[in-house]
Amino acid sequence: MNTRMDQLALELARLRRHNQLPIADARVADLEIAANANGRQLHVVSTAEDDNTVSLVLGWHSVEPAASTRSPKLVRRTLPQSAVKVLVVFYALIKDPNTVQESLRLPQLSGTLDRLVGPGSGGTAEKALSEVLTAAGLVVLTSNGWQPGPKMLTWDGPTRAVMDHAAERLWTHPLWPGGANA
Amino acid sequence: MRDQATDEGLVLQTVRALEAADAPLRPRDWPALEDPHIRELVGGHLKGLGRQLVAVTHGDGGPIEGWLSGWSDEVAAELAGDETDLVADDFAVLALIYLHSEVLVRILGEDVPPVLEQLDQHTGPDGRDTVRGQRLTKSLRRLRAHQLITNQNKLGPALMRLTPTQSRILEGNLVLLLRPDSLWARDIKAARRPESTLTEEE
Repeated sequence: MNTRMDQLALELARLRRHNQLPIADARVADLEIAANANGRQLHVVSTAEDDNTVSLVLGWHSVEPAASTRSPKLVRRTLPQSAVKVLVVFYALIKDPNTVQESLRLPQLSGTLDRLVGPGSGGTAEKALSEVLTAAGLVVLTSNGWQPGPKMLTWDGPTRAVMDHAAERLWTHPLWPGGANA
Repeated sequence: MRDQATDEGLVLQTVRALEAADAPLRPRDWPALEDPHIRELVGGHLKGLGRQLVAVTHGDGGPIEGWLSGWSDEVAAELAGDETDLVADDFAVLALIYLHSEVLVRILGEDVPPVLEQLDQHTGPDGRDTVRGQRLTKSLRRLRAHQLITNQNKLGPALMRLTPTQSRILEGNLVLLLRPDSLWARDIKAARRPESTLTEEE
């Protein structure tokens, strides 16, 4: 790792591997130029309970490449269905305009899943949060509970729109917290 | 004369696809990758991200099935020293699966039953007491999350992303482990020795 370019490549590789890196350790402007030149984009996010911890996340320039089953075929890694359910309910709880909250405790999430999906569904929440969704950088565990992770905070517009739509539908469900039958 | 602007657009589109892909990009879907000039440009962009273009072949030296990106050789050596969520148990389990898959199936070409079945049939120590119960379950889960093994406990798709140099290092390790006193092992050790040490000894 001799040249400045090699060092930047290594830092971008570390960003990809670790999902996020503290901004204090990084040469942001140089990394931003290097990421943009190669189809990626650098995001600055605050993921911890303490705003002093600001991190860099490697995202996609404009929108993320979409999976395609037609030519040119592109296979993307998908989340297990059980983890998708947990993710959607987590996102809807965090974004619920009636209960502004930055983090969630596990019982709150698993209780909501039990009501919406059926008894026992909440049991999948801990495994999905602590393994699949954490590894994907979608959630992060802080001392205040589970919070959106670096990847969720840097979703592109179309992804966010899909998740917002799903959340809005959940908010009107009678079994949603605060709903008619909750 | 080539249109540089078109090439650059195509190259970036291909780089993004490679970086997002969970399976090899097939040449018939991504014909640009059949063009050595485009491949060179793609390789240049990937290098800027600490990545490298990897050809996925059917067997050693077989036809190219598709293309993936993986850690470049320079970056992989640095990342190997970084912290990871994988623990010693995970490496032990992965090594066991690797040994059974590579030595028995690929190298010796034996038609062997699944790893668990082989271990059950084995008499004497089989290494399983070192990682068992919940620890084994957790290790398998972590290895699957990293795509190092499949749900069937076979070597996973992450190993397709190894560059030729990285594959050679892994195969060299296998020789050092199984035939530590062989001439082959001696050659591998000599090749890995820093140049200054070689000069002093030879």
